Amino acid sequence: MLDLFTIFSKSGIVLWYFQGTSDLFTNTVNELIKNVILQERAVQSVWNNNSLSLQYRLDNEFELVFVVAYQNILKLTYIDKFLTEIQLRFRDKYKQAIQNCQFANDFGDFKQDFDEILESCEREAEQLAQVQRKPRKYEESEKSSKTVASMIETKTTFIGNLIQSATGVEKKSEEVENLSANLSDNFEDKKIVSPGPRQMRRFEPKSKKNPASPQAKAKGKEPKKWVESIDMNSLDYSEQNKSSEDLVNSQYASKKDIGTLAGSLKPIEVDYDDQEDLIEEKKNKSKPVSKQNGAKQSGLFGSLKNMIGGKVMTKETIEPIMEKMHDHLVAKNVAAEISRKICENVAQNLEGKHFSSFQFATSIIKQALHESMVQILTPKRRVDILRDVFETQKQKRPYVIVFCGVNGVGKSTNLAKITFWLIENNFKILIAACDTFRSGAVEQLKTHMRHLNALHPPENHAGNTMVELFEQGYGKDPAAIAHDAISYAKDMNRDVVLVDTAGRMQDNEPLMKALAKLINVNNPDLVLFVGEALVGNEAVDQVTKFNQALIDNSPVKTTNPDLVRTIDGIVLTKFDTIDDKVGAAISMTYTTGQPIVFVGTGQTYADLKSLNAESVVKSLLK
Amino acid sequence: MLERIFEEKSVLGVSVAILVVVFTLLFWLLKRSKSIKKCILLVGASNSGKTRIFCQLLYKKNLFSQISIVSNQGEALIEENGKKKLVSLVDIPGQDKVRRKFFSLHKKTAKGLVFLIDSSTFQKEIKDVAQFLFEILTDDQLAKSKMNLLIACNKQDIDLSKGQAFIKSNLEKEIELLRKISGSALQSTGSSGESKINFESLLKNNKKQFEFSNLKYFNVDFCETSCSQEDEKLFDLKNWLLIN
Repeated sequence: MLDLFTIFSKSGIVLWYFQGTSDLFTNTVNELIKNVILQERAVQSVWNNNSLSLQYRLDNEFELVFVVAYQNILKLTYIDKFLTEIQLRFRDKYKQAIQNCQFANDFGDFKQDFDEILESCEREAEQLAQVQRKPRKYEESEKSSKTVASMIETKTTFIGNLIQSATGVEKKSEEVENLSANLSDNFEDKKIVSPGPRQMRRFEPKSKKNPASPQAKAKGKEPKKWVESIDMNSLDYSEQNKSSEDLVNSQYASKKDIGTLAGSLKPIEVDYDDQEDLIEEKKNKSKPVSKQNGAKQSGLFGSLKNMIGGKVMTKETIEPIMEKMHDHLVAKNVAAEISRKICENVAQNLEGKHFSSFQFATSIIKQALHESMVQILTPKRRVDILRDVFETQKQKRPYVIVFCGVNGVGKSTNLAKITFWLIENNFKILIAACDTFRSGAVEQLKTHMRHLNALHPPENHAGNTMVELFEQGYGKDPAAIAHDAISYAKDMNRDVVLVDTAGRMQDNEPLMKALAKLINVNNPDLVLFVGEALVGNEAVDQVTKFNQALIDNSPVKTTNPDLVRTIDGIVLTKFDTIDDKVGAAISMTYTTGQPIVFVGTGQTYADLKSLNAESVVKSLLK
Repeated sequence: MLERIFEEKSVLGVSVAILVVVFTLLFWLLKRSKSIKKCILLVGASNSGKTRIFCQLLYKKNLFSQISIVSNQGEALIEENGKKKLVSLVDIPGQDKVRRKFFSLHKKTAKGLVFLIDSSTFQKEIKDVAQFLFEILTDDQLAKSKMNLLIACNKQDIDLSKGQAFIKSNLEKEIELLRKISGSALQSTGSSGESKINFESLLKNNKKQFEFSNLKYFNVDFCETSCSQEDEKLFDLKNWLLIN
């Protein structure tokens, strides 16, 4: 009944396997490892992949993984028990070999044990199912134990039952009788009469009785005067009446920023003003020995540790510490649900691990949590936009990036910052103004374009205008504008197209459909979700719903599920406003599994950084 | 006279303490000297065959392998052409999520690197492979002393796999492009806090296009390998391991 069962070490060597079908199992198990174990989502009990369901067990003491795969349609209930028993049997039988890392041993004689355990589990499950499937005999049911008299319902018993079910309190029969007497009076006396035709007429509008004064109405509403005298001309920003000097030394950028963003972005440094940590950092700089893995203690204690007996991590030791860690993370703005999942995953990875009596359980758990979160923040694929733009340049087509997100997170601002960074690296940009809803969106982008062109005038770049804006006013279909922008960019040899979309709430279905249409019609190279670092639990909801909407509205959802476009990366904005409460980074990355590509740290063009996983996690755990 | 000095308890206590400290220091120094620079690291992108080769060299058996989550460590007895040597091997997982952690853990004890490449999927994965190689070349800890690097083009048994000359020239072009991108950035920190050196300072001759022979701190060799059962081709690798 099982399609596959394998035992392999965490380091990748398969020790024993059983194959029920002839398909090669390597790929399925690799998918499990990539999507569940490496993504630190270990808490799910069953993981579905195509038509297979997979369940697994980690043995943390000997670093083994046990994986079972079976067809989706079979709902096998004995798998948990089966895995536990197999794990114990394998450990007992091959303890020596595993401890000495003799993975080349022949584990072939495990087949008998496997068959034995499988048979016994299946038998037990069968028996249990049999017991449940047989219908109850009359004698076993509750009804047979009651007398006929007790089952007759009167008003008192009926009301008594209602009260009991509502409040959970059993009332005495006299109280119930009093109550029922009162209630029945109310029920019987009131005659609910539906409003007849005569009564309905009472609600007709009485417009004829109160005529408004005709003179007052003719005048109409006058505009309210807030300030005595306003010069309307000074408020008109639509003309190009600003000199280029003004543009260069504006609030967005100054001349000194030119040339600072060439190459890859600098990673972010999170400051936390804790005196002790400054001292620790200085120590780390002088000693090149990195303390990244707590298990690698200095040689002195290392040898002593092996001589003295060790302790085992149990659920009881882990739980109280995990509670504290969970509260700590929530205080640092990690979404509560995500924090709970991360802590459970770390607990699962630590259970059964041995550690020496010299080490404190707290420090080990903290270390494991640190590693787990760095792993979450580390991208699972290569993130190098500059290299990809070079690639599309060779293919003679523009590299298209779409920015999406809820209202007010900083899409247009960060779009401008990314434009600045790309210009510094000598790429020609086309900004597509697909926000056709918000007043002033197109003008905002026009202003950015003028500032950026002033900072990098065509004279410095061989006569090319570095930034152009493609807009078609307000009210038009954003997907069509994006399509036209991309073809324009292709004709005019622009290297990158940045598409700015309107902010939308994740619950707004028609707008999510429109976004999905824009993405599916234009097939961009990168879909970036812009999220602000200030957001708390809402982050999970935003990202999940955006992702789900993109999947649901995809035309290839059923035909070719691998080609469905979802969020490819995250831009984390307003990072300068949060000090050390950097939990939003973890929430968003954990939910999507996609990397954080940019971090916005301010409102000027140079405030763009890349993510430094170590620094962020260090400040999270302080 | 000595008894009188030792009668004073404080002097006795201090001298015992000094003796303990001296012994501890000696013990610690002895321990430390054993762990410096003696391993060969097997690195490479995911699915390039590191764990397979590790098993082949260590256990002389061709075992199935999955994606590694932790590193493999062991001592392998390498025999080739009558020469024998015990080599300490470390197989670093190739998945992006975990490789930086294990690489920074083991790079202190590395005296040589074997960079494995899957020759059959090289064309599709060239950007990832080149990125990893670039990270290794610009790592500041490795660049402190001369390091021997063997780039092994694995999976040669598959028909469509590319030869080492093709791989070498394409890697050089890719790294030249990455060098252009990283540009004039001065010493910076990578995304996990490791220190990265400006690539220009690692080249003997800045003016030319990038070539592997142009690196100051790395001695680069190429070879072809295959560890399938029908067509095992590990003698180049074994010879290199015996020399280094």
